Amino acid sequence: MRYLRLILALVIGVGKSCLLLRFSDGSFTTSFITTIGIDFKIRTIELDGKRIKLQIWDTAGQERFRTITTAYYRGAMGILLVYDVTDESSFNNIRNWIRNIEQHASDNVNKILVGNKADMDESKRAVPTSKGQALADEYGIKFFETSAKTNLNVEQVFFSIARDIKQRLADTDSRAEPTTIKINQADQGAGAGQAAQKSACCGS
Amino acid sequence: MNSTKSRRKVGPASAIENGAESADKLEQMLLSSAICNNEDLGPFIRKAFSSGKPETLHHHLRHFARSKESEIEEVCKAHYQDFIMAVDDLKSLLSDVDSLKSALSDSNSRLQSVAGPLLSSLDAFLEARTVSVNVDLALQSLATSIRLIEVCARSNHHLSNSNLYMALKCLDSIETEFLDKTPSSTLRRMLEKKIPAIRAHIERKVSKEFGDWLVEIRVVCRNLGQLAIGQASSARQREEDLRIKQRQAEEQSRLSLRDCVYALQEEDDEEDNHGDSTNGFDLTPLYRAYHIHQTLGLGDRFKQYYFENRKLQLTSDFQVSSMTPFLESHQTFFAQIAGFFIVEDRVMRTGGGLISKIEVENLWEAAVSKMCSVLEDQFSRMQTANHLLLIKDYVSLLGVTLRRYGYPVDALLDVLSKHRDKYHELLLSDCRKQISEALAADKFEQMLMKKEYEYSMNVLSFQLQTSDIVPAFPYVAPFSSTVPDCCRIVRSFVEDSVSFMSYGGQLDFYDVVKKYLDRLLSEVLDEALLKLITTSVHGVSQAMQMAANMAVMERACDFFFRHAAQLSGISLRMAERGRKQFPLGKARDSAEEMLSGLLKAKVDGFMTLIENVNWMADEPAQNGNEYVNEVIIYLETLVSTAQQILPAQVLKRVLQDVISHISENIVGILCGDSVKKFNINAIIGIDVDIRFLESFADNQAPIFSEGDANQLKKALAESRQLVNLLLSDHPENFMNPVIRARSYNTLDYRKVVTISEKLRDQSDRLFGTFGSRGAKPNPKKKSLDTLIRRLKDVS
Repeated sequence: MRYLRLILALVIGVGKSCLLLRFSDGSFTTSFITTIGIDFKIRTIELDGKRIKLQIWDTAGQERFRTITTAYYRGAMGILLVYDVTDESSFNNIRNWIRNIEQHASDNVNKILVGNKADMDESKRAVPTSKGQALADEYGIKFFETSAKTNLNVEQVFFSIARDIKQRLADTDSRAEPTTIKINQADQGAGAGQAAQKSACCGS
Repeated sequence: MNSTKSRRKVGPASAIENGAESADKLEQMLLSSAICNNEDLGPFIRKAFSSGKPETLHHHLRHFARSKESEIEEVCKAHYQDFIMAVDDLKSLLSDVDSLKSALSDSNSRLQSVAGPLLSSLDAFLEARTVSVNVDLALQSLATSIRLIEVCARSNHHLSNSNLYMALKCLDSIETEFLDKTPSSTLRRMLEKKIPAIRAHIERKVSKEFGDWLVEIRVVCRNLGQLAIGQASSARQREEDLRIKQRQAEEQSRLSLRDCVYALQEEDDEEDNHGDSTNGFDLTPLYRAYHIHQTLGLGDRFKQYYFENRKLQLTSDFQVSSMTPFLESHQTFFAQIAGFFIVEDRVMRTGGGLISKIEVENLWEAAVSKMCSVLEDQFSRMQTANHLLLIKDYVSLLGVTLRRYGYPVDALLDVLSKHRDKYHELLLSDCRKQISEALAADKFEQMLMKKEYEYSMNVLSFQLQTSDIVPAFPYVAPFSSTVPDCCRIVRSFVEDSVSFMSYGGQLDFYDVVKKYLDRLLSEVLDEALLKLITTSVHGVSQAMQMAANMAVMERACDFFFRHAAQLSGISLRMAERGRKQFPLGKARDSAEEMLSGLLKAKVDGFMTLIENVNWMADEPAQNGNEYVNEVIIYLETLVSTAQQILPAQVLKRVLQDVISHISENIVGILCGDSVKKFNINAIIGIDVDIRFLESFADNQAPIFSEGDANQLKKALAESRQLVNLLLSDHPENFMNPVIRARSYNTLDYRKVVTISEKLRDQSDRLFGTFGSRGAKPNPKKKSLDTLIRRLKDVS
């Protein structure tokens, strides 16, 4: 089983906990952020017929005092940047996070931009969808608006990044070991048609 | 009657006596008395016959018979009278009896008539009394039974409401109060059968409830453990936040004392609160079961049962699943155990002797040794530093949590500190990799920062700035991107190291952090930089960038140690005290060496122009030789660029090295084989060259201090002294120790000999050219010759 480890890097007060809880509900007992400012949740998902374990690392809102234990940035395969659509400062903070990521995470880490609390009344919305999309386009990353409350797009976000990471790893593998792919490709072709277009390799 | 008879017997005897006159008479009397006395008449008869006088006897007998007959006659007469009187009496008696008889009969019939009804009522009374007694008895037993039934009903009610203790109490009272008194054997039989059954039922029910509790308490334990550890964590975070706030406040002003006091009180309040929320678990079923068992007299058995079951639970809690990685299961594992002991602590303190202190302590000892061995095992397999950190953090929180309940946790902390080497090795190897990546990516170009945040991220955050004034943007930093990259890596290392060392039971861990930081810097970073310098630096600009970087790294190292001290809670003054030398010294030296080496090589290129010097010039070159102009132009361009990135001291060191190399070079040329001879004009030319170089050195004074500029100038000392000697009017003074020590201290006499010999006597020529001056012997030449001679003598 391939481990996909994600970091959920978030700003204060955007309800990232809700988002995580919504996704990983029941997969781990009541958890808390430890002193070193980090914890993780786990959920096993099925992706294109493969079981994949998502280790979702959760950070505390530590911009104020604590620096994120940077060791946890490294080795993260994907990072979800979450802001609150009703809180413009959380959106503005995203750039700082991206800078942090550039400094500490590995270069090819997958990123995804998430605007949470999309269920809120339009009058309370501070960041229009177009602005979020524009930021995502600027960095060339995917963008989702979610609502942990109504479960809008929550699964999609995690599945999307998991799929991207899987794809990336598969591409790396296929470059590294072209001979093994041949065999896998045959398997894949028989199994999932739509996956073949995405990946030349089974990715695991 | 007998008396009468005897009396009558005596009578006749005496009468006979009276009538006797002889033996006959006596004999007759004897005979009559014998007959009267019913004695044996044999002797009389025998005597009579023996005496031969039977007639006498016969006579006597007859006589006796006659007397007797008269006697009888008289008695009969008397009796007849009595008889007549008796009949009369009887007749009167008979009439009395008759009257009495009728009277009796009357009374009887009267009595009969009166007593008849009485008797019947007596019968009725007796019957009624029996009935009454029976009814009383029945009432009594009914009352007893009613009470019994009541108690039974109560007992049933309690049973159905699960008030088992009350039910048991009812049973007890039934047994003591009613069982013997119950009149109904049916009831008694029922009771005798049911009471043990009910007891057994209660025991079963309680045991089942207890069993359920045992199952539940495991989940409760896990949640409880997690909650408690979570609280410890948030308490620690609050503490840390406060400490950071405090530190910030201290940094900002000295007036922050009041805030600190306030902050501490705030913490105390919070401390009070979070004792309560861990109370949320229910021991009622346990105590109930224990109490019921005690009531049943099975207290000891239950204690044992409890202990064994809990021990079994603990043993199964010790199982570490090999299916999931320990990283994923460690929280559950430790939380479960923590919860277990929180519950046991409560049971010990409030369970009324259900479990003893010593038993809990034994369990805890077993748990600690198990946790230690699990940790040892898992740690030994871990290859990722941050996983180690995460688990260590959790374990230390567990330690804090359980210490609050009075459990000793030192053994656990020992295991943690035992693995700090392993952790740091992993960190070091991570850092080694990152550093080599960062260094490999270095382009040896000055870093360009367009925005203020970049400046604060890359410069201010590592305190690399030399001035507090924020520069204008875009800002070109004196260092290349490697520096902030490496700084980030080292800072992370420091933070990760502190994270591991914090709360590990060791209070003053700055020395440890410092030790590992030293290792990172001097073993990993220094070596990586050294390698980079020796393998990747090929040009002057690269070398200069490297040297500049090293100078910045020197400031960065100060920051690292300050940062480590600050994070370790050590005052900066304390940290400054134990400062060591620059840990990247090897790389710095090598960078400077590399730079000056490359510069020297470059300078050597220009110095080849020295070949063009006319060593036997007719006139001294007033504007310096070509080579020196080239060298100075090069040095000037070099300084103008270098001073932008190199700190003055480094630039000075490098320039000094280069200039002294130039000086050596000049001396070397004069000394070497390529120059066979030269005249004084050539030396005058060289003197001009050196003066140009000296004025170049003097010109650097604005960059350096006056003293440093002088030092630069001093780098030319050898060539300067040599030229001075050659131009001196009294070269012989070289032999004077005082003058030599003052003016020619850098000169090696062998070189002086070699070079001096090459100085051709110009007098021949001078004579030819300036004949008018006359042919007086050149005193200088003479002095020089003396010098050469004497120096040769010395050697």
